[in-house]
Amino acid sequence: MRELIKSWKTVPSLAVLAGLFVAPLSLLFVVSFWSKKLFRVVPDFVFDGYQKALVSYWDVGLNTLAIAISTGIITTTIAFFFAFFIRFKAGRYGDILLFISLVTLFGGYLVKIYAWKSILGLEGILNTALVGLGIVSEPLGALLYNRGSVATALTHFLLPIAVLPIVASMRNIQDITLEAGRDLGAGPVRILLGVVLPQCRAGIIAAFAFSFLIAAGDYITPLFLGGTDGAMIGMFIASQFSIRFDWPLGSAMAFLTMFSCLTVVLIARLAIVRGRK
Amino acid sequence: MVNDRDNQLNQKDSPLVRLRDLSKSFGRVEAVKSINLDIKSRDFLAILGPSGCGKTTLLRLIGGFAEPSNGTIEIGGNDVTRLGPERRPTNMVFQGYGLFPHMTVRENIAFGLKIQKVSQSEREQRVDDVIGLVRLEELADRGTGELSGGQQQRAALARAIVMRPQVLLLDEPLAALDLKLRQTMQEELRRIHNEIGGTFVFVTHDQGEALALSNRIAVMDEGNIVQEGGPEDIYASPESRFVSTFIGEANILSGRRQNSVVTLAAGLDLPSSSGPDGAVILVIRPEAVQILSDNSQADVRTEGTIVDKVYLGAYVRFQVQLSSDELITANVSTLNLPKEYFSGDRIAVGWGGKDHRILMDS
Repeated sequence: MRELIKSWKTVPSLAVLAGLFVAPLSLLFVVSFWSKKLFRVVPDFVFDGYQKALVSYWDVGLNTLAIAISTGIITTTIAFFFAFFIRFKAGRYGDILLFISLVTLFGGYLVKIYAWKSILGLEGILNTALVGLGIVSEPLGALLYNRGSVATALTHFLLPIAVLPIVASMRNIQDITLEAGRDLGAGPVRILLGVVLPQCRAGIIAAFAFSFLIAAGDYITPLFLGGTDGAMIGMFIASQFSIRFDWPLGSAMAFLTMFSCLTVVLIARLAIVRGRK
Repeated sequence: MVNDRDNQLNQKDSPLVRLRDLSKSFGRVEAVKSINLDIKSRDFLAILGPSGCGKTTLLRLIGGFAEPSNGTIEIGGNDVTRLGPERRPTNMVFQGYGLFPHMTVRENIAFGLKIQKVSQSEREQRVDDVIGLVRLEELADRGTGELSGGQQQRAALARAIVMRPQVLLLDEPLAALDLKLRQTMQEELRRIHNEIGGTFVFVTHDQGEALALSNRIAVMDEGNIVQEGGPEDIYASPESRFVSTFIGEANILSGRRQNSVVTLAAGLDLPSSSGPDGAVILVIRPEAVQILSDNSQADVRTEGTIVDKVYLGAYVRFQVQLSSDELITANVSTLNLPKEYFSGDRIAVGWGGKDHRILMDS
């Protein structure tokens, strides 16, 4: 009886979970098996959506994973060093640095996209500088509208989000474990990889999962910076719902993307946990 | 890695560690002030002092965890002043142990040997040896989080010892342990020092621990080494008020010296005391003070009133108020008590002339 009363207390949180996550996902899941007749979506049980998604969008899907994985890895790596600096080297300025990096999140995300557009564009800062220094004779068109420009902007935007969990897990590392490492003869690289990194695995996994998942689901950055090379699946999913009214296809694409992303995160987690030596 | 064993053998009599004019300031605070100290091979040296006296800073300077503001550090004839801890022939047992939480006990101990690229067979042998030495056989493959404080202490000790350092540094090694465990670990440390015969330097604020463990003690106060010597010397011949009260208990009686005669405030003269004129203190250990029966003789003899008496089994502790209102404590063996005394009794106390020390009152 007491167990029952106890479990009642979880009802509000379960309701939130059900209302905000389970219900929409279930709805999408159901719709993904429906079929589209002209401009109407009718209840059905067919795999047309999945088939179409795999046949027509597999290349965009892989492109998305490639961009998101590289964004995740680059972001997490930079975030690790930045967090290390904040936690172990910056002393009392560490908190200020962390605060500043988080404040950049309020700068908005479109602003960053436009900033990168003006940096990497034909008449952008980088090209002007390169031409001015005589390194290239004419502006490089290849700086913008590709995977690299999308990954760069995403990394910029996601960095603070990735720094936070790593700093949090580094806070639990005792300083004397680093001193002990040095005492036993370890150089800086060995300390970083053999003493610090294994002690903040949880933070690294969280940082990678955040930055990878947000990157994989993004559909604004590739729209502005991606061109044809840097197109990502989110753009196409969005258009299935907004322009083409092909909800079954959109839902199927969404589920396939979600499934692939979860697989990537699980593999990454396994790699980081197993990666102890 | 500075490894100069041959060099070291050739200079058997010269000290293993030589500190010259060593100082360290943090901003305006001078934690260590121009210290000169020699540590001989196989010494078990205690750096003893109250908290904040700079003893841990001194140990960290020797280990290379802090860079001196001034002065030099030589180990085994090599100047290591500017070398980091990873390049010194020292290893440290940290106060908080600093075990790697993501490794087992065995992996912790093997960490340094792996870095030195010691072959696997030798590594396993040496790790097994020290695990036996610190008696952690049963727990070697556990994570460090599963160990008790005393066991973590042993693991940290093993991790340092396995490196065969020329100097083993221990920062308050037993401070975090409870009394019973502390006594056991004291015995363990003595045994390990005997078995491996290395040079140990440890920092402590516990004078009992320093006396029990070390063969040399350096007493620190406010960044200076105020006295250095064997435990017996320090206890029997303290050279200052600070040392006499910090190590063991001491009665301090004030007085003046004039023309080689010391006159105590308690109203007695002690002739033939050479030294400059001025304010002096007389230091006498409680166990040296005797209660005298009426006809017995003593080199120094005065009278007072018993204000407190505590029976402590092996001895009785008297607090006696002298004519100067100064209190003197006498720990008298129950076997030596001439008769029974009570609070308020007038009695005579005294001691041998060799038992007290007269120091300038600084």
